[in-house]
Amino acid sequence: MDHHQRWHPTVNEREFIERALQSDLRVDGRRPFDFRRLKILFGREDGSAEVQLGDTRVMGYATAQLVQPYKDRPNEGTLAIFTEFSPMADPAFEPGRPGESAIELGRVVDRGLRESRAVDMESLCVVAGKHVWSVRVDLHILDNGGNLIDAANIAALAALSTFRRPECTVGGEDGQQVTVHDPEVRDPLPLTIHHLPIAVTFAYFGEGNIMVIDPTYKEEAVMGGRMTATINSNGDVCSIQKAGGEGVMSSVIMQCLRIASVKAADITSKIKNEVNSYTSAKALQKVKRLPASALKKDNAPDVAMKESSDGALETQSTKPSSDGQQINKEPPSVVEDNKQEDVEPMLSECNPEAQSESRLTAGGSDETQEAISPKSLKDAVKPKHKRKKKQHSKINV
Amino acid sequence: MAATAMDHDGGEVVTPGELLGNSSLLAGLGAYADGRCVRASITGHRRLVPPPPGSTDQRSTVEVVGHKAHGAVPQPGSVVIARVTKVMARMASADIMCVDSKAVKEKFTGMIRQQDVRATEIDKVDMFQSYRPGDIVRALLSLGDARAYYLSTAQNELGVVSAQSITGGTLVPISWTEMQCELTGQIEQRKVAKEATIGILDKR
Amino acid sequence: MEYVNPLTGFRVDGRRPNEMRQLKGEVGVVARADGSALFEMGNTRVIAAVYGPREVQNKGQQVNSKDALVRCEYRMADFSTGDRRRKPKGDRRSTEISLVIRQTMEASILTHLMPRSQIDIFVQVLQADGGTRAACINAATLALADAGIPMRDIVTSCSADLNYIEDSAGGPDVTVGFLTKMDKVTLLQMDAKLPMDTFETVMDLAIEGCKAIANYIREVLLENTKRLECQRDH
Repeated sequence: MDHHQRWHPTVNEREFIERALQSDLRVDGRRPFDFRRLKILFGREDGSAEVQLGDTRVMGYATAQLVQPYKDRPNEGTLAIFTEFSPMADPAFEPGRPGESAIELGRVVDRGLRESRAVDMESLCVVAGKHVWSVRVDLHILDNGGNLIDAANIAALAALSTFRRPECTVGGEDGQQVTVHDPEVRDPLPLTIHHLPIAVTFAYFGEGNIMVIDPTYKEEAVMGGRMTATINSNGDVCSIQKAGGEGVMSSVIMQCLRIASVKAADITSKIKNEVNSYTSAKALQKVKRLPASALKKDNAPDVAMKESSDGALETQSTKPSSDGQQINKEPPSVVEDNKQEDVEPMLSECNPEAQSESRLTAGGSDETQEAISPKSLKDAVKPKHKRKKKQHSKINV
Repeated sequence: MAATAMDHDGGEVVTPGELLGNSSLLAGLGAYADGRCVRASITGHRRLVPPPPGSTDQRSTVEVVGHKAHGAVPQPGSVVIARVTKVMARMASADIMCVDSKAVKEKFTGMIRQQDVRATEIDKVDMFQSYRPGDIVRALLSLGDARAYYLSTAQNELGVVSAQSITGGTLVPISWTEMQCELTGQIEQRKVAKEATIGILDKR
Repeated sequence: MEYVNPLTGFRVDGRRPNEMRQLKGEVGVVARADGSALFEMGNTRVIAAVYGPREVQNKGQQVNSKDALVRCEYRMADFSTGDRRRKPKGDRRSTEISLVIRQTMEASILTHLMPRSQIDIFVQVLQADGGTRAACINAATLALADAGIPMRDIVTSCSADLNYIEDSAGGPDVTVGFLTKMDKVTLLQMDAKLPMDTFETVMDLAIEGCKAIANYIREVLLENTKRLECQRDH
């Protein structure tokens, strides 16, 4: 259980930082209520973002899968935050079990997003009580330069803002069958985000009389207390975390909240700008690919997919696992959404035609193999075209 | 002194954080100075102690006397009574039993290093000729490392104050390096504390 | 669901909107511990025990040799809520609450008076009915005072008084930890979307609650001192 200690300042370092703060100077030259430089980068895929806040770097990655909803909220999707504090970012982070600070960070980000209902959960419901989207945000700390909470919160928001979940429709004889559409066939959908709750962290020094915003690693080692206020650009307080430590007057807390709401507005517009330029860049890419998708539309008319369980069968056959026998055994409610591949695994529960489905999958395994590693858009479309024919012939028989 | 005793019984009961006075008072036990005021840190009776005669500071000290104080915690500079638990070639470990005049409630471990046994010829100390497990030692608490407090017996008044011989008889000090068994008369080597020597010799 | 009946102006459990639940505090409930206390806020019951200051058990945890190491373990008894099931030890929620209680108590303990030692605070929720972390902090304060551990001030906590039904219905839940004599907030937790001025009102309400609880806790401590005196005299 012996764990590495966080960096501890020497008496002189501590005094230097505190003395400087008394005259409103910070070790990195900022003023007390300045944030460090914020940079948001997006990954090649939707739903991944990297946030740099000064030296702090956090990566956020949003994914989703269909699951059964909680019993008490049958028509709401779920949102969960997972944190990864790798010893790479700070030797004080233990490998393996998440430490106290990892848990606190996860819960603060989680509460800020969930309790303020920032992400619309009802729109994530597919079939009430049966299938809902479970959105998962993984936050990886890449470098600990202090104030992980704010950086992680921005990373989570940026990841969620660019995240697209595949569109799905409900069909079948009992109206319970869910078809998850290939992102190439139908544009995946963004999440409905009502507002962006921004975490703003203050550090307190002295006897709670000195405060700074966005503390660095060194300031964190010296501070007597810390408060994270999660506020959106409307000035609504979404969550506050001050877990003990140096006491401060309630008037100081209100002052912090007012400062935080100004900062929240700045950061909100920054995130929105970055997200907008990212999405418009993505849209431009799509325009270039238009001929290919037009081709696809001709060959595989969208209407056919929607019609009935045929659609379900069709996509099911592209499931990466070519083992047809196993499909029935697999718990249907845990199908991973994996955007890297052009094939979209899907889910069909209570399928009356499960037998024919597995037969079909077994038969079509060659094509499936092809479809797993598509190198270009054309390759991805081709097997679909083939399969379509095959299936039609089958139904005709 | 009578006034103090009366204060003890009659003084008002205070709880932590309560104001005891301003900077015209000194904070004693159970009280602490917070900027310009003195506040209580434990629950108990408030008591005023006049300044000791001849001191330069003419301020009285305010203390809080509680019914239950937390157990004593060893601090550098305190004289402790410890029982030797293990003797090794370069050090002996001991459990601290008393800090100054107070018994400790919990176990605290101390360590007597070879170089801290006596003040002279510190490189020629034989640990096995100085301490045995079970000996009661008076020692001065110097600093300590991450594992234990360092105990020093490098003063005449420090060292073994009570010990038993191999046969189980009480050992009586006969010099500052030797003790004799009451039952068998056998002589054993120890680093003997001076005061104990005088005390027992006087009695005889 | 309405928390306050619009006709009568009373809440689900019959209280007025800013009325506090019944408080009950008792010290010295665990014989083996150096200090202990039982604290009740309405139907929420919490027991706290303090051991120490004692030798640091795990030397790796010792941050510096000038201050006492404060540790806290929070646990919810399996039978404390409506659904009786085994709760995993060390889940995310209880780890966070342990951290919160520890840091809140650390803010009031004069740790520099007990260098190189360790103070253990164990808190167990016997019955949960809203405001558990507030009750835990109040119980821990009483237990620390009982153990005679020097403290800067009495730290009390109050959540803007919601009972369990209200809690799971998602009403605003503000928990404040307050150093009454210093007039300072050490703990503040809130999760719900609130406009800033509403939040200020709720926080002020919780602070008023903290002050009332502090008065009550001081009473309990005074009474306990008097009781001990009587026992000693007879």
